[in-house]
Amino acid sequence: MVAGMVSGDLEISGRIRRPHPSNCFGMVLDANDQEVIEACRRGEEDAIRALFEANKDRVYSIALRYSGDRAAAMDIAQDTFVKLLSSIQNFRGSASFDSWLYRIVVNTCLDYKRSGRRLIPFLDGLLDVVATPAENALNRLVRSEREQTVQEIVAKLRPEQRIVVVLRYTEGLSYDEIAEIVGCSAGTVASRLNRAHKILERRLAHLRSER
Amino acid sequence: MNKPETSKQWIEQELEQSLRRVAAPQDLWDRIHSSQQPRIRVRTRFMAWATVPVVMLVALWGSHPRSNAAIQFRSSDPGEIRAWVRANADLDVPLHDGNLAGASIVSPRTVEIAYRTGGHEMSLFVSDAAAPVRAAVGTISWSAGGQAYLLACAEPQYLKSCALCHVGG
Repeated sequence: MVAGMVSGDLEISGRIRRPHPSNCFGMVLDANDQEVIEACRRGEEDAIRALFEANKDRVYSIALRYSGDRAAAMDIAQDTFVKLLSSIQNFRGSASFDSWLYRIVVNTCLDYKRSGRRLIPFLDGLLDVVATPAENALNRLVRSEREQTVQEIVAKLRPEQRIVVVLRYTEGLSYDEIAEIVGCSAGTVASRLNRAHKILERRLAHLRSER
Repeated sequence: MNKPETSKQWIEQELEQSLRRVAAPQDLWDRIHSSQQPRIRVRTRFMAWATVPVVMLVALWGSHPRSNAAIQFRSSDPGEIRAWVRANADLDVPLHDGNLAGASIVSPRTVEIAYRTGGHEMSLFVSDAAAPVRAAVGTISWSAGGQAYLLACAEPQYLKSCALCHVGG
């Protein structure tokens, strides 16, 4: 668990923030962390699967929000887990497992070169809409389109700004936690976020007027 | 009356909504699993091929659970150990860096490479392929380059992961 984070409400940069519903902090590899990791080191398939199941959504979501397309996200998530499993022998437990995992996925994101087989984001969103008939399709389509617009604009941010935006809004991490993962100061994180906010506000201004 | 929403609040809400976490696709595990398969398949094929000429050092392991304390040549450097083994047992043993503790001569043409990892001691016995093979629980054996190899550990659960490095090497 990342230092300073507790289950329940999270205090992030001086304000109380509700954790993401799917946020697994406090549950992932808690009491049995070391046991699971040790079992992974021994190559036990069940433990490897458990480690994957506990972290797959987190890794995939960061990859997807960073890259902006599903094929790239799958590549990044795959690379992340392969790196994690091949280097788990080196994880000593002195640092938090979450921080270690975040660093691997962040580095994999930053190293990822776009392959040119990017899907059309809007089509991705549309497929989601079709796949969930329970909700009013029109409302969901409008919302999906809006979200796709935001994601596309985020995907155009510079990598160092984009990764802090993703860690902040996909993972709900504090400035200090992001700083530890990215390897810079909390002040730099704040500055990158501030610049990203300004760019996004400008580029998404039309959405605000549509509300 | 509600305070008007600031630009920052608005953009934060949009980002929280649009960048929220999603579920990973079901086939992610298959991709990860299959990306490991080629290595495993190669190793498995190698193992099958290798069992033919292997010698048996199992008896050695049974009667010889040598402690790392008795290692004749102490080093963690694969190059140094390889040179020492070549000079003293006339065997060429390619070794990888990692957890090496040293080597000992067991007989004129048999050597033991000692490993120590996570508080566990392991031994890799290497001999020229002159004797017949006998399998034994708690050991893994194979042959390569006319030499027989036997990997043995007091805690057999570690054998599989150790063998992956050795056999794949």
